[in-house]
Amino acid sequence: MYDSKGSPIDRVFKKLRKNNQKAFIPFITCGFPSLDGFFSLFETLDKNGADIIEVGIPFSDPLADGPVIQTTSKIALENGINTDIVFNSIIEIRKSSNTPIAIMTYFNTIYHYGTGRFLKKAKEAGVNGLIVPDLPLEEFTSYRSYFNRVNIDNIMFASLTSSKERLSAIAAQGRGFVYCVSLKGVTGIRNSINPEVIDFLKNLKGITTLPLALGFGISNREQINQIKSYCDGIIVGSKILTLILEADSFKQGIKEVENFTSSVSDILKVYKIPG
Amino acid sequence: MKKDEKKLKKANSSFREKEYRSYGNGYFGTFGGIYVPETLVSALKELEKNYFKYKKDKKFKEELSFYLKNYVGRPTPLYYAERLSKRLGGARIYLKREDLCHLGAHKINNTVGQVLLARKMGKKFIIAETGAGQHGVATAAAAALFNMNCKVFMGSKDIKRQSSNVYRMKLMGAEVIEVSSGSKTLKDAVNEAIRYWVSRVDDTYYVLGSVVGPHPYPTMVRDFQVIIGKETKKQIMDIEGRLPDYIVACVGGGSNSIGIFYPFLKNADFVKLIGVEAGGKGIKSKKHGATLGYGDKGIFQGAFSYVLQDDYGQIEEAYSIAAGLDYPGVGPEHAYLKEKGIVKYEYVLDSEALEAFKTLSICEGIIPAYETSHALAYVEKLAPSLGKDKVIIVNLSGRGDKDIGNK
Repeated sequence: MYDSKGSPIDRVFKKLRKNNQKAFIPFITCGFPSLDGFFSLFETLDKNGADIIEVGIPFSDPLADGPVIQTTSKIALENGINTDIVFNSIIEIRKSSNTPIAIMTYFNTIYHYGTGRFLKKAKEAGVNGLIVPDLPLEEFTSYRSYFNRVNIDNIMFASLTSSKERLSAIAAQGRGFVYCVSLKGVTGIRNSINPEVIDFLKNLKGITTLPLALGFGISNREQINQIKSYCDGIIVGSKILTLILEADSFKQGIKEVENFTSSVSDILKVYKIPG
Repeated sequence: MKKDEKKLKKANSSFREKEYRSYGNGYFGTFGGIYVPETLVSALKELEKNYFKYKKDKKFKEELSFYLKNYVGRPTPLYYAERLSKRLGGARIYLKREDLCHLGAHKINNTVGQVLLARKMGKKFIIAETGAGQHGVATAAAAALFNMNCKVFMGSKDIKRQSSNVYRMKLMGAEVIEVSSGSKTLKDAVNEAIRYWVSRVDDTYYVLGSVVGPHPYPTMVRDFQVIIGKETKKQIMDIEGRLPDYIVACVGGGSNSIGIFYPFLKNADFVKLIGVEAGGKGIKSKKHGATLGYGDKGIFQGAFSYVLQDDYGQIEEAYSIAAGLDYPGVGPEHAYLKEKGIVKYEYVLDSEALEAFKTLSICEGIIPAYETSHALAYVEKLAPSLGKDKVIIVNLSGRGDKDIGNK
């Protein structure tokens, strides 16, 4: 088991909490726009205030994702990315960065690789957390023992539609942080925050001491300002990938990601007196 | 000696029955489950609760059987195909005429049941996916019948090759939503319907068209299709005074086959159950839909079952001349029945199915769907090897009008 300091993801939140700061957790797809492009994107995020980086292993049928992540997944697969290449890429990244990495992928990718083998390889590569959108509580239970063996945080989802009993169970089973889904729907850019989210987060705070990271649909400073005091971190995926998809050149895209990332992490890192 | 054999048979089948009954709550052995995003879990639990409540509700059952009789046209006949039997020169062949259901396929059995349930649950909107368009048409009809708003998700490739069904859906008031992601066929229509459902879980009911997807769909859709097998069992007893030796049905997602097989599972020691998958252009060509025969275990669209996939678990595209068999997944209950050896799964090629399509049309004046033609093609190979004392039943799941002029 972990020592008293907890996992690398736990330590990130502990340190931020001390300063009343929030985590910035960007998501990118491994192999998008190319393998080299992915490395540059990772480095840009890492140098501009990302606290944890979510790396997607592309899957052919991403059920929980909107058009942007569907597109980046498709491009990555067309670039020949597979699970082994993702692990090797993380080994490469680990030569120069210790920023915690959480893998996001769909369960068939893991199951087909062999759940035990997948987790062992992930651990060896330097992965710290795993996020699997189509593995809810009911199904996770059968695979829990694999996680305990390798000490990778299994990050579970809490949704606006989850019952109170489910939220308690999710909090009890999950580690690292709770991935709070800010809307009923799939990933993608939205301009506002669903007002139900504030009560949802307040409610969760009463249920768990795990950090709460809010994701899905978050793309601008206004949303983040509105919501940051109710959670411990913000996850942004589609917005960042869109900056690359829509840029005239990759160089231009990287510049925009750099500006966006530093402006977002500025808001999250401002010290504010509680209350 | 004979007595012992009988005893053994009895012991075997009761063992199987007991084992079979032991599953429930959405698992068939290890297959099935609810591999879905957290946001959908509560909607699936709500559906499960309501389905099991209304399944036992006397009024619901009465209403359903009223519509099955007066709207769908049940019971459908079990017809002795005399000329076909003689031509093949072996076993006696019976056809369960699901092609005579309203709209020409078994799909309507399920959609009437589900839309009726949606109305009971107070849902305002109906959504569905469709491949060939048969399920979309059957959902559009049920939605019109019960005055509900209906959206059907359909891949842009299928919209092009099944334009008459698009017209039928629109005529009955459904909105057809074009899906241009992925392979632009059935699997992507399912993905898009699920994505839409996640965003409208509160007031929207998703009518899935086959025994696939997360629990409770595989169980519920099977229950709505079991009427096929129940009628068949009674009809063959009336006509032949005994159970058949073989039952043959085509398998895409697997709803018509499980519907006819299910009441015979406990007799599977002497009633041989055969599911026929799409062999497409041949297994080696990799252009086929033989998921049970040549796929691997995996998780696809909410359930643990068999799936066509590559070395890293990426889902592969299926292929078949029959759009209804052009799907890389299959119902989890079939995965279980395969693993237990209770049902045997075979495949036939596009070319063989096309031959059978013509043979039945010429012999009996019945034009079968391309999907159904797969089951018939298998029977053409099986029947001549059997004596005249043997009985084969084929589930004639749909009529072929939709396939005319479409190759």
